[in-house]
Amino acid sequence: MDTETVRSVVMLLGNEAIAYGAVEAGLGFAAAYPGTPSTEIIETLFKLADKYGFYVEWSVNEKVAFEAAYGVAIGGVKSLVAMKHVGLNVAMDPFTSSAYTGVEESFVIVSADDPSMWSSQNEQDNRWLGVRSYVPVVEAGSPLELKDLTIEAFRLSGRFGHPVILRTTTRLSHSRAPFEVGEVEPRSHRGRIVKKPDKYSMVPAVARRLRREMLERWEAIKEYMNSFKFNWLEGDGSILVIAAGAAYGILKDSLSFLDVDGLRILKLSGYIPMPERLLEKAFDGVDRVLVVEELEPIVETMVKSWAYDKGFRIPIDGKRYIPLVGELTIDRVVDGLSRFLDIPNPLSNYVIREELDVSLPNRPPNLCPGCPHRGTFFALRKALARAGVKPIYNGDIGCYSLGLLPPFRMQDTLVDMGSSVGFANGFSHILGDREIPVAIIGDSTFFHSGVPGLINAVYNRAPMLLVVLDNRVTAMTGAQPHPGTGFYQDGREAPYIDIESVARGVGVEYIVKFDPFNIEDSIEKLSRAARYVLEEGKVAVAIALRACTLYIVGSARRSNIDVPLYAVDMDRCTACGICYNAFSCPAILPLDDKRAYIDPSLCVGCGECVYVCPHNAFYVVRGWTDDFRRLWW
Amino acid sequence: MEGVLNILLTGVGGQGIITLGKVIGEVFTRRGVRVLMAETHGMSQRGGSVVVHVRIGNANYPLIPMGGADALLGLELIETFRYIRYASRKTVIISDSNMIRPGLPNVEMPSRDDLLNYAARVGLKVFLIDGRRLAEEAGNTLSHNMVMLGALAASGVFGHDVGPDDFREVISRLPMSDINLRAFQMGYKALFDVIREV
Repeated sequence: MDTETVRSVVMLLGNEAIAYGAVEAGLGFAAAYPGTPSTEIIETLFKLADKYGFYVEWSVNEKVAFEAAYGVAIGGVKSLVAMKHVGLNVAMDPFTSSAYTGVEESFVIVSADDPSMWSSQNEQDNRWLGVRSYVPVVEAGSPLELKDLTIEAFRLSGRFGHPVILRTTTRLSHSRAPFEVGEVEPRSHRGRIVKKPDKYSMVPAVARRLRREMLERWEAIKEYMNSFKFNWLEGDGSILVIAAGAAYGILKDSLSFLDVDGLRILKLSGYIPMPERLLEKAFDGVDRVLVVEELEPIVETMVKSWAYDKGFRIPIDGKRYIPLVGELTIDRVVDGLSRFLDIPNPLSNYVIREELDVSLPNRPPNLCPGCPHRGTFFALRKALARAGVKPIYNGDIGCYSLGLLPPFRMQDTLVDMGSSVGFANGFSHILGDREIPVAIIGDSTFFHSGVPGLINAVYNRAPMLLVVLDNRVTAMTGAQPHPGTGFYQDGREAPYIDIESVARGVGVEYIVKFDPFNIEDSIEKLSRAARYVLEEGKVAVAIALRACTLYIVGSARRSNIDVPLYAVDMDRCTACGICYNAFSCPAILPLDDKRAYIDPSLCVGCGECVYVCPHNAFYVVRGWTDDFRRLWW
Repeated sequence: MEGVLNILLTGVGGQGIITLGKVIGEVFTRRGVRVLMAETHGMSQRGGSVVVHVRIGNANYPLIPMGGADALLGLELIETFRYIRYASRKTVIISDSNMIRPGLPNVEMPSRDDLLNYAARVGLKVFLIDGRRLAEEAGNTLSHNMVMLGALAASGVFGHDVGPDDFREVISRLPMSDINLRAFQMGYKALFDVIREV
């Protein structure tokens, strides 16, 4: 974004606003592993780092990112770590202890949660993690607050020397809203490391004392939350509606549809720990309470418990009216409020009552045209059949998770980062004759948490075929670099860590590399690897080496390099459908007579279809030039 | 909701729907009007279904309620109907007339007539535009989004304060601005042609 003018209003993505807020707060260090919906925070910081003199990195996983940022804050420099909600599970160990030790400078943990699971395996509500770990949580009441709230999160953390969670959600992070941005003074970010082993070395004797100190800080923060500037009371009446985080914005818009008076609203953006004096003021003279919050009944539980102790015996509701599952919308809150207030739902007047009676085909995301994973899945299935092996496919987190969908259906398990290898470790000890576990993992996920599983497999003699889909980048989240990429986000050269060498180093004896664009050769190599696993009872690693096509074609278009193109020879096509059904390339479409047609606006000329077609019906319209070939690495 | 203009944009990942939303956002932000916009990222970019909510005015949250869209602009016909519950009889619905086959094996495509008959039966008026063909004529299929923006601008949904020149000014700063401006113009004209036929 353009910040050349002194102070100007620009549309920023929520994540960009968080990044700008962090810079204004004096950020010195930021680290993260990419994950939707958090990724753009660090991407934005990379663009600002040189100008403002702070350090940013993509770390190998969330635990390392967390520890690096935590260490920096102990060293007296303001730091931020960002991750998607499940990423915090990976960093849970240092996260929990960070509240015990506290920090010397501001330490902000951005947790980007994903209500409705737009791109996640679960919709865990990380506010609970703040409650269970004594880490304060702050949340914006609408996208408009994100930038200022980020600054406030740094202030809060610095003031108490305590980590703070800035919790955002998909809707906040991936909303665009107007923000005022301007120049910030660049500053130096040298640490001032004061050694305090009695505070930062968590042996039991230290930890016992730190636990008491943590609880004292918690009480002080609780007091501070009473005057936290993003918490307030508005309106008056005998009915209290408590809105937590972004539920406030939804509530405000919902109320514009409802003709009601006499509501008192308690807007809470900092309520872990709960500002009890503010709550007491809100309860004064009230005879009914409704808590509006997304996902779990956290505020509801806290308020009910507090109210019981205080002797309030009035009805307090929450999840009875506000859904527990999925993100909140204006529709859902208007519905809940109408039922709570026992008035008609005004939105039902607008909605067309008769529902669409035509069934629409689903449109799930798909592997891109020319995606090397398509070739790998196609070849792997054929290879295992050729080797006479019965596989159980253990998938992992990445674009290749889409291998779950037809036509491949090659992700029998798929749970968390690195679970492909972990599950294969278990399955290898219980499978029957001619059965082998196959672990399918991406390059970035391999570095993130596949390596320990591989070491375990070699050490504990767990036979498996580990297929590493090396497309050189963290593709799913938008092609961020990782240790096996060879360059950093800004294009500077980086040390290159070779996956084959890693596998060899931990004792894998059978390693093979294949090019998924060359399907016949891939089938042969994968089939031999599978036979090795079956016959030798050891681990084989097969590395699919082809960069992310989306990334390469993007580079080609930006550099005006011709992208190759294939077409169908209609005389040869027999309308068998293998290319658009069994191979399922999105660029190949069926005509009315079921013969195949290549959409030239989608084809990127990978040439995989040539191998797939038994009738030799595909031909080159525009071949691979040397310039195009050189883009792949 | 009083004073908030709700525009729902739908289509298929890769059609430039977020860029389309950003142009609308920029036009109003420059005039000092608040715009909130909710986008679909991540998995949905891989050829999946995409929906972008744009709320112009003093909204506090970026999601439009069901039946609350003042305009529904679809860059693909199936996706227009996937989000039809956001429309009411007051909604201006403009859709590309083409259907794109989802990248799944053995997909059964709906019939265009069935979709349009439903709309007619429940009292929804859908303006169809062959935006893909117009984008090709403009010089690049990637300008499809600007064709559709042109049609939306011609519908009058943005009111009298914002005219086509406000959009042209923002579009002129995009890459391939010549083609995109031509595409916008063709879409603008196309909507009038469709209305005249009716």
